Amino acid sequence: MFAYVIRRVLQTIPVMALVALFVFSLLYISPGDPAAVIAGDQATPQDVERIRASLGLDRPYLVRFGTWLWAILHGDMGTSIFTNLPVTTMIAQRIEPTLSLMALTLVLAICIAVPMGVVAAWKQGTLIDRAVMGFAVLGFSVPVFVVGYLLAYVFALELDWLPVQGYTSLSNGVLPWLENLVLPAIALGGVYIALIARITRATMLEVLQQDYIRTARAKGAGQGSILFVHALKNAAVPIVTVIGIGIALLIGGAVVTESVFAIPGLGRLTVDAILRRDYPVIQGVVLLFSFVYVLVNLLIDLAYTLFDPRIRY
Amino acid sequence: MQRRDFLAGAAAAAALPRLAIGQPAGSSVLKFVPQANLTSLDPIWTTANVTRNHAWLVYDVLYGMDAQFRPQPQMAAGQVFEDDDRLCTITLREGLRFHDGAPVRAADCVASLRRWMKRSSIGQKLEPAIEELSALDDRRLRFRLKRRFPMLLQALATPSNPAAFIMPERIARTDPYQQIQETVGSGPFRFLAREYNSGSFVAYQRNPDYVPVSSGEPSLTAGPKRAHFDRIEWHIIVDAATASAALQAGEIDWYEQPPPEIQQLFRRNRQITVEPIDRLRNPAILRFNHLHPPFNDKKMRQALLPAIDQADYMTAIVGPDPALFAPMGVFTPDTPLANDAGMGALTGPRSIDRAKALLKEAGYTDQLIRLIGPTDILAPAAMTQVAGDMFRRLGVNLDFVLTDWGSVIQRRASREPVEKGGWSVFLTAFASFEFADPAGNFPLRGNGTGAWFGWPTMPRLEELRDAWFEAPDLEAQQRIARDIQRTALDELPYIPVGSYTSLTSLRRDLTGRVPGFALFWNLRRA
Repeated sequence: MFAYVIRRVLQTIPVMALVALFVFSLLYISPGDPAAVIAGDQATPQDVERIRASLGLDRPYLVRFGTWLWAILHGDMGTSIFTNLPVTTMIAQRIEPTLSLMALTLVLAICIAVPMGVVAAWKQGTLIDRAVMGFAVLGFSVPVFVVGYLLAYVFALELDWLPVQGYTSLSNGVLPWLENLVLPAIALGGVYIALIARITRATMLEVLQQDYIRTARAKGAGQGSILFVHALKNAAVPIVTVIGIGIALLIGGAVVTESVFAIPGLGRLTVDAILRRDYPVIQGVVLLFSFVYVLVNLLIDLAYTLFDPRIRY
Repeated sequence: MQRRDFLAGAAAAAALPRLAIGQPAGSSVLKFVPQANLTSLDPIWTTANVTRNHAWLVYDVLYGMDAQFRPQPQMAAGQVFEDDDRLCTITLREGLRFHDGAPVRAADCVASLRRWMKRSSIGQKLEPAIEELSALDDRRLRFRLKRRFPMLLQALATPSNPAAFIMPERIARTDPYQQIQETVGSGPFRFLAREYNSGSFVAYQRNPDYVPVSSGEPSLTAGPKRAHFDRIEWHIIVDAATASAALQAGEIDWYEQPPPEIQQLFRRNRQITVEPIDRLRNPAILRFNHLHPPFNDKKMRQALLPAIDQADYMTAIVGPDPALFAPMGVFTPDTPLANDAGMGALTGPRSIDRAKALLKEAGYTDQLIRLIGPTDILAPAAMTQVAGDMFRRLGVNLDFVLTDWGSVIQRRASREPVEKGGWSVFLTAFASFEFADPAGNFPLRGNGTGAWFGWPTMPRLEELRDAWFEAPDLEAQQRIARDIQRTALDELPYIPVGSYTSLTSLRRDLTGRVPGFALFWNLRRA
């Protein structure tokens, strides 16, 4: 097991290197020029050239890539072209809101979607099942920003229960933190709930046909025990896999959700950086996201052993 | 607890109005949503308007410009001109201090002006006229000029980007093409660096040591700058619907640039006022690439004139209300140099057929015309759509390229012909005061490859611009301005496509806003 973990961690190194090369190359060939953005409308082409030179953007591709890679290997993600702040500082400023949003969404989604899927499988073919599946279709179909606007309109503007926008750090108290995050988490969680509920239902339907479920019933086990102890544990591997894959969905959705609710997270940082061609920030954030994704997949693989003792690494 | 009691309690709690989210009455905090994210803090290094607005909070200038475009002393107590105006000694007001507690010295002003002159278009005109700029002592600086420069005080007072902001000497010594590392000014508000989170939040604290000028009324960047809020917070909200909802909910006080569709919503809300941010209108232009066919040919440029209906372009930006736009030549309407010379070309009968005939007459033979424009910046995006429609109706061979603003400003820097990725036309808009005179109106330059994107070579316009700088009084300036406009509307470095009023939205309890742009002094809660 330990050797497996070490091997998997080592495998992330070439993956990250490939991501780094890909991201850098993509940005290099993409149109846009931070020097022109900085110089503004009044600048002459000569001004733009001088700024480009001062930022080192006029150097050849390989020199720039080599410099950046060398810095990354030394733990230096570089400095934002615009704000002059280290990329690590900017990421540190933004990581809490994004982690908070993702964590709350994850908890909400699992707490809602798994019981929904279990109940839908249990009540297969009934109105409850159809309602759950209908909700799942809706969750997949309605874009995050539409849900976000609707929630903000109803719960913030009309009812005045929750704030429209912003973020309050957890250090200022759980309630203010929750107050700012509830609507974004629900908006972001919609598609995730739909995904988990569907996969839970499908897997549970399969498991509920198994002989050991019939045996459990025969020996007098209660319905709750059958569903949540005997069946759900055996259905857990595909569900956990989907939860892991869904992290990528959450990262993508966070970009939109953070814009709609003006949450100062990594998603907004990424969009702002892309619009301004702030290369060091884009590279830093994408690398971080890639690392998180690789890490989550590793954790998911390890979690399999908890649910299915037959799996050994 | 019974289930019924719990449900009743939960419902009651949910029905309670939310506490402590809106601004309490008389709050000394102003919450503002700026037009864009504040990415850079150096107003000399970048000319972004959002950085300009930040800079007017933090920094002060030797001279402010009033709404009538007259320079007025700010940090300066006064000035003495000698030696046929070739020697100008400026004395600083007593007691000026930077936010770090250090006194403002003449040496700080000299270093700041030297850096500013490298990047400002009017500063670049002033610099060669200076023989020596020096600090005589801590409170006096002196310009020794090679020749008279009648626009000296106007230059120091320019509200155009970049303005001549005064910074401590150690900071002002930074290369003008490098970004400064500290934000220390002497203006009415202090920048709170520890709270700065680019893309999210910026905060300022009232500067208790700031002493406003003792006389006059606040007018554009001139007059006393009285800070009535202890704290100003900028909340960066990029999504218009979210910013709109936040203003309606009272979570913010001022939304700088709501889009037109949101303005309609605000007009129905009694708690919100929608008003022009500036008493003047913003000019907008259609810019040609003068290096390559077809618009390197004057007749081709002139052929488009009958097809340009300024009302169409302006309606696309601000809607059909005619009170919100006005025709314009090359100077901002209602400014001292605005005039009607040559305006017949823009205000006469409009005709696509006439334009088609003129294009044919000019020898247009289906050359590729590439129109580039953004989709993410309101005014240029709207105008680009109108221009695209105009070119289609003219039946030209059009390549219509829509992309984001970041790509447009890179692409417009290309001097290649259209076959190699270059461009033919783009449209953009400016702040009102930038087109108030030839110094700020940089698209009017005709100095070839040294000119703004499009690079027209128009020696006559350059001669007239030089003459304007030398003009002894307003009357002479106005005479030259008529010549400039007549020449410009004949040579067409660009075609003016109108001027429009930019609206801003505030909570109704805010009063005393100084018109111009997002200025924070004098503003108070009623």
